[in-house]
Amino acid sequence: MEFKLTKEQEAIRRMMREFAERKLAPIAAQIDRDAKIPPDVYPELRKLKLFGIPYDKKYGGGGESYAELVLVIEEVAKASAAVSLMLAGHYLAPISLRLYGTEEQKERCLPKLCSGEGIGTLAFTESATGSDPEAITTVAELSGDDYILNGSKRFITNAPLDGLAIIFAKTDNGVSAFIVNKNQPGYSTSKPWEMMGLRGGQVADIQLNDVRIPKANLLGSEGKGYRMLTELIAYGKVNVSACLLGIGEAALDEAIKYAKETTARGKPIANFQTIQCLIADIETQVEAARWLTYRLAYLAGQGGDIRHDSALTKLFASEMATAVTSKALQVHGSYGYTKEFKIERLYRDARFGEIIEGVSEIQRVIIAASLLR
Amino acid sequence: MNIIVCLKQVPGTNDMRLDPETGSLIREGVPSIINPEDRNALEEALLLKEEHGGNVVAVSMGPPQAEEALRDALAMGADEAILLCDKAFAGSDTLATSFTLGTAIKKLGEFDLILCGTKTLDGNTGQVGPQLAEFLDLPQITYARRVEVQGEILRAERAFEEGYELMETRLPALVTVTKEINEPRIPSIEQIMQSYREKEVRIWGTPDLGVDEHSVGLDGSATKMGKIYKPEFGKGKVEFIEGSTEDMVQGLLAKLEERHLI
Amino acid sequence: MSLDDYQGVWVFAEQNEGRLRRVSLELLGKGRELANRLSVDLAAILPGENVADLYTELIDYGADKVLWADSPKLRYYSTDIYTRVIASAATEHKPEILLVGATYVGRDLAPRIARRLNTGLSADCTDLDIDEKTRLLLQTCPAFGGDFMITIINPKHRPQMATVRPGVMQPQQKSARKGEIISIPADIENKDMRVSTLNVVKETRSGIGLEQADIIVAGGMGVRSAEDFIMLGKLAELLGAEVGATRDAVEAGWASSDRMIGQTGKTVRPRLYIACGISGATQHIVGMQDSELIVAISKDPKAPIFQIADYAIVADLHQVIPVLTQQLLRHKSGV
Repeated sequence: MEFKLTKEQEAIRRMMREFAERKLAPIAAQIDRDAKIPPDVYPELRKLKLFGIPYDKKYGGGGESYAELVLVIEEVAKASAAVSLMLAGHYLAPISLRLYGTEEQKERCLPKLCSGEGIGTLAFTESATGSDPEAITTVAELSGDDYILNGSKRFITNAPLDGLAIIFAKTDNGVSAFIVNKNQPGYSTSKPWEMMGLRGGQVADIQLNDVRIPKANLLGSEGKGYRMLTELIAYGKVNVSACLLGIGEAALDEAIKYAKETTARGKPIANFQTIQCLIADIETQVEAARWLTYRLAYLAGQGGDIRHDSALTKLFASEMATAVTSKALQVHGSYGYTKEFKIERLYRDARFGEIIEGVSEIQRVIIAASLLR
Repeated sequence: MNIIVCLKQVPGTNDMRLDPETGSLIREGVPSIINPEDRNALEEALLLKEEHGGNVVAVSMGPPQAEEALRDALAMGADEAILLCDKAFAGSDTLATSFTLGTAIKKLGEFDLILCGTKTLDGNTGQVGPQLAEFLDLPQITYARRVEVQGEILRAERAFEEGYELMETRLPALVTVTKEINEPRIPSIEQIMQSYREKEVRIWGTPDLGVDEHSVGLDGSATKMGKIYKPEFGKGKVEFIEGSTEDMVQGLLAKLEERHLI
Repeated sequence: MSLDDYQGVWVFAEQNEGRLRRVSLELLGKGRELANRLSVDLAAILPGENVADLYTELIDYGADKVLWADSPKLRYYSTDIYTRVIASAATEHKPEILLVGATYVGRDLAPRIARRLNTGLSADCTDLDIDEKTRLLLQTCPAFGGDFMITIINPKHRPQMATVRPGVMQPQQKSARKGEIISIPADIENKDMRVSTLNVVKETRSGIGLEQADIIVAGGMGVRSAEDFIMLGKLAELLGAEVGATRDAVEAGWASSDRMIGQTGKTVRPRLYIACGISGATQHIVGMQDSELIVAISKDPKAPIFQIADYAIVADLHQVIPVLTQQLLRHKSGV
């Protein structure tokens, strides 16, 4: 078994690191402060073709694999987790289309998503539920050749950004998924939620008022929505894990830097075993998360059922990110608790990992289910 | 325009460590990048090519892994890449490096312009550019922060202590650039993949250059390096100025006056 | 031709607009020391136009000889011409050591001369010494952005050439001395000069002037806000200084990126560097450690910056800077 990147993958990492350090790192603090990603970031991301990496070239994708996508998201997250959240959220839309779309739907909808002209969104969660299909209240009524959607969604990443949304709504026989153009009449979003971290990521509620979409926008089969969700979310977790990996690496770098530069009695605090223990723990966990994530990207490329492994990976990566940002903050002492140091932002950014795309408890249920059935 | 760009792969960080036993720098595990000013040189070459048409050849002298840097150059848009790689080149000072690069360039045939970064992150001498120009008997302009070509005439803004000078020369010439000159493009994933899948990096050693092993590398160098050591970080004689805020300020001003700084 | 045929220490005297650049005097100071150790002569080589009044100055600062070339074509530095004049003179007179200031001119000229003479050249030296046994010039230079130092020798080629960082060596005390004036050929034709200068533009102080600034007032995370950076700006104005910033301060949005000093920013060597609220991360230090005089103001007594500072004030810069500014104002208005 080989545990290394190909030369091409190393080159991609090099380029993405250069991009992230040059273009994202200098504005990351500002993005967090203003809770806004400046509009001129998006064209830069489009120029590098970061919105459709693993999709077929005939749809305008990069024709690469999840491995390359993970490396890109990891390097972006290391500089700005908020931008990586936007990307991870976006990918849920093309993932859905690739898995369940008809050829017609793929040809119609993928190109704009792959080019980044349209930013993707997945909307399942509502105020009543994040994971329970029975509690979904948004409805889609068949009316002639159209469906009419009514209802609301909560905490939806990228909801206010122009593009396509994959919206889950109740039909006669269960939950179904629909392709909705976000600038359609009837689709509106609330002001984005003011969050603890990942500020700049636009997480908002969606209001659907008689949103009329053609039958051809039904994704997959009626009633199969929840089953589809669990499968596509499994692919989404590949990207979320990469975000969390990037955050963990950033925390490790900050802790090492601080430990080497700060002195006590004339010597760097890196000489103290208490600090060494904290940093050793951080690196150990980050490395474990790294190889789980890369392995998951590999499995995603193989095309089998990755629900179990992605739950496992995402669970680990999210708890890793929370733990290592906390330890890294500890290394900084009081300074880590101030806004003057980057670790404060990383700590806030990491915490969402244990909640987004399925809370950790759900991940555990999924993992155990495969083992104990 | 036929443009040649000389670039060097350097450690991507200045946070280097010394091997206490051998006294040399530990390069393992340190990521390598194209020397930043060489990227500016390559970007300038690509911009000139976009304006005037032509061909850009990237040349680098280095160990086998320097091929990565040349692949990055191809991904950015260089048309050809040549790696000068041979055990015999090891230990080269700038004299030997300019000899080796210059000999290779002579084999490339006609060119209009050679662009290099002014200096490297690791060697930091800024000497290879001018020495290469001398070896090839080319007019040189160093520290260029702006370059313009019209036909056979090249104009450049060359930095100096008090500002800049507008220089002019006839091609062929050699110009070294500073990072003010442009912002190097970042290739897309597709371009990176293409550089590995569709483009070639030619590798030349001493036989290809037709040179004797003693005229290159350590043997071909005039300077010899002694020990590398880490200086004591600190002048060791910090003087703490104490007292009330007023006292401290007075104390400081007195010192500055003593040294004619105010 | 043996190495023993090469004798003497030469210093390139760089003049700009009829005045010697200070580094040339610094080189004479060091050169004098080296020449004494070797028991050889120290010569200054001075190409220029109408610079005869500089000969005495060079001698008074330590030169035993001045090799001069005077021509209108030498008025402004030009690579081709200066290289030819100096390389020819070196070939003729065979110095064992040739020192050049690491100025923009020096860094353009020295490598060209070294290549023409097929000899070694070390760059940006901060120390020079003579090895007792071998009589070789020991050239000490920084490596890897200043984190390391390396000593270089040039055993078999002559002259041993080095460019020397300005502001590091000390000139000798000026005193009336006797010396020899020797003319060297400057037969130059227009066609020999392949690069021409169309225009010279002096730039007024602006953020881009950090690398040339004599005094820099720099702020780090301790400054805490963009408004407080303005306070530093006022102090800088009074001192005729430029404002610099650490990478973190730039990332926090308190200063523009062209003011960034450090590994990924600018490297500066001002005569005075006042570090305000800067912890002293390696990343920053490598960009300013060669400042002649470093004053650090930080409320953190453990800050690493104090290890490289000359003068340390452990206090809140928000207290100190206003008082400093006030006192300077009084000082300036002669109160």
